[in-house]
Amino acid sequence: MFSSMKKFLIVPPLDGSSACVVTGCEEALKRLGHTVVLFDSSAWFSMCSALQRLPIGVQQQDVFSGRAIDLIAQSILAVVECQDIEYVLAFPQSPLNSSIRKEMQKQDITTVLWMTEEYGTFPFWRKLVEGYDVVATIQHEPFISELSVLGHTPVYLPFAANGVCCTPVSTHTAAEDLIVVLGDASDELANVLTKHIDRGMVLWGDGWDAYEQFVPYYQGSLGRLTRSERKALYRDAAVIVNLHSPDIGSGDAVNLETFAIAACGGFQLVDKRMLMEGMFSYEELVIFESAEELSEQLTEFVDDRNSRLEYARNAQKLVLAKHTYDHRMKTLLSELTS
Amino acid sequence: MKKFCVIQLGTLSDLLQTKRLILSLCRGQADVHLCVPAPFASAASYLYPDVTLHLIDTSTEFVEDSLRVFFSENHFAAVYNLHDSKKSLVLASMMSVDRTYGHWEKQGRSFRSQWLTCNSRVQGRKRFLNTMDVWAHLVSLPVPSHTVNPIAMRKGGGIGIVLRDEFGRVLPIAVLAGCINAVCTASRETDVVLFGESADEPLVTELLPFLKSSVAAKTVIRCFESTFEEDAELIASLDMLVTPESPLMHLAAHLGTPVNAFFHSSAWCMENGPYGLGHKVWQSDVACAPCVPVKDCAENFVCMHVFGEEKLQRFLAGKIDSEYPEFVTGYVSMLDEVGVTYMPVFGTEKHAEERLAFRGIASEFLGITKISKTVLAGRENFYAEQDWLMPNCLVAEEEEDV
Repeated sequence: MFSSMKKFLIVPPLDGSSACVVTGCEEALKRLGHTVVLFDSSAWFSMCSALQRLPIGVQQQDVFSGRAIDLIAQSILAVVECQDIEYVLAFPQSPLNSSIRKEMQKQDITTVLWMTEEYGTFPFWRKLVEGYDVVATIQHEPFISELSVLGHTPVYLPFAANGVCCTPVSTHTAAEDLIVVLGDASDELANVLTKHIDRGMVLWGDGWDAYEQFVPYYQGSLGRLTRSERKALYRDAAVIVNLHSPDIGSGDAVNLETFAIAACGGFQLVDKRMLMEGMFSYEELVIFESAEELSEQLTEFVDDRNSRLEYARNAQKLVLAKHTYDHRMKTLLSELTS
Repeated sequence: MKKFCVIQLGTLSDLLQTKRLILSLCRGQADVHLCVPAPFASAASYLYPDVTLHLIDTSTEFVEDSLRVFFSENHFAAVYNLHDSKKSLVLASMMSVDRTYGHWEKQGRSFRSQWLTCNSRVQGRKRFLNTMDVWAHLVSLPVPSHTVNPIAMRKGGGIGIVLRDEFGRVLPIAVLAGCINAVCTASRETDVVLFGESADEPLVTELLPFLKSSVAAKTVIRCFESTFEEDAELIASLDMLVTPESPLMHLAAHLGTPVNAFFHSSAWCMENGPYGLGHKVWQSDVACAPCVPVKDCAENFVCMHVFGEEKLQRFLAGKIDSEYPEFVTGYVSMLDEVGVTYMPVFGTEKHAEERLAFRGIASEFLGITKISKTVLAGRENFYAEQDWLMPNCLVAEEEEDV
């Protein structure tokens, strides 16, 4: 472990996404005794937004966008130099570019990426990882090996929960008939969820508005919710259907919501992901492997408050014990010093 | 029934290179519409009998009333606008559509599919994708590359020779004659058909004395006005088409007639080579190739003269020596998961490894391969940071293809 305090710069995503992760990292590093400087990425958003609206041709757009990102990245480098930063922690949407990261490496600054996107849906990762010493990833093989081949130090670092979100499960007063659906729509899912719509349902994600029966209950993209709104939603829903992918059972990484719902003491039905094994068991999560199984589980649990509370308690306990940002940052720090 | 529209206002070669996209859209009995320049009406109806054609006057930005009415009364699931010319953008902008791919404009700002932007960053010899595949992959999971054109096979009708390339250029007469003589020797074939325009008769008169007497005696001259369908009928019967980069080359590939192509000047086989299996390309590999088309060449068209080298002509005649000449690479066409590519069988080209890496990256981008094993670390410029940072900086939703 670290014998002395280190100085970090965290570069949040330009678009304000992953706010929970950024805050989780910042607070955890501070709790662990390190100094954290937070770059104000959001202040640059309006400049980039203005560029995205200029009535110009595509080649000019490419040039201007590249310059804008370089300007922000140069500013970050200046902060790093002025503030004697030792470690830079960034995310896929952080406004850095590979040349500035390589410049930081030359100055013996350790550059760290928490790759919070799945590589299969984020092909840009090959460019993104350039100039990072350490790449922490929410996925395991074959991505970990590929990162090693490319010369990076890979760290398997799943998402986590923020311990401060926790409130005792026994104090929750869930509206008994509210089913919250988080995730993207598919015909198969829409078909089974329609059977349960009368129990009271709200849906977040993409594509639900294409189904007439869900339109009155569709809330929009999950990204529109603030941190406190999410906390309240996770805590107060009777059942949360947490969908990683419309293609059930196809992926590996466990999403942020799985941890966040558990930390908030919510009860979730979640689609199976390969990397759940070893992190969660059937004591904490009710996992489904098909749309039909989801339907059966909805029928079973929506009227069974006691079982739901037991699962929620187990999940909260496990997440607090093993899957907080403090745990993740300790894992990362031990890799940085090894 | 889903309704799609392809706007292809490019060249005749471009029209032929749109085949994989159109075949992909026609799956599932979709209602496919195709906007083409009016002079290509017969070619388009021959190539794509199942689509509805809209003939466009490309000499003006004005759009005919009948077309305006048609577009206003029809809604398309997707429009594929393949060029960024003014007329093309005007047409794309007047359609009622769920989603536009390729090029489009909105409130004075130009937009382009991310796939095209990434491809546009790869220039010169690193260009690795056939235009057919660039356009086809605007559709998710286009038809497999091996189903686009038949495997090329000899048909028994002799050798066709195309005199002029896409831009009207012709090899120096002695070089062209040498190539024809050598190819005829290799294939033991003396029946020859020369494809040209009526204005090419003096050129042919100059060429004939350079041909072997046995070849010249059995040479048919086809330097007159002919329809696309007549050309197709003849090319479909040939053993081989010897050609520079030209529309007839793409037509031969469409028909499954083997192509033996001589690529020089701006022609780059990786980008515009004949599509499908069974084709050969002799690619000029001089330092300045491929270039942009020019009338006066500072290098005195050295890229054309290299085909006249004796060593090369021995190879063309089927006499395989241990020493292969410099400045020409001999390729055969092959297919991979992305589309058509060309494997060097005579000579080497130093960017081959980088192109292979780009194909791996493209395959990942398209979701065909999860992690490609051909990609080199940190040596590619297919992506730039703005690709993933800037699109999320829009507050309001834009109609865009990301």
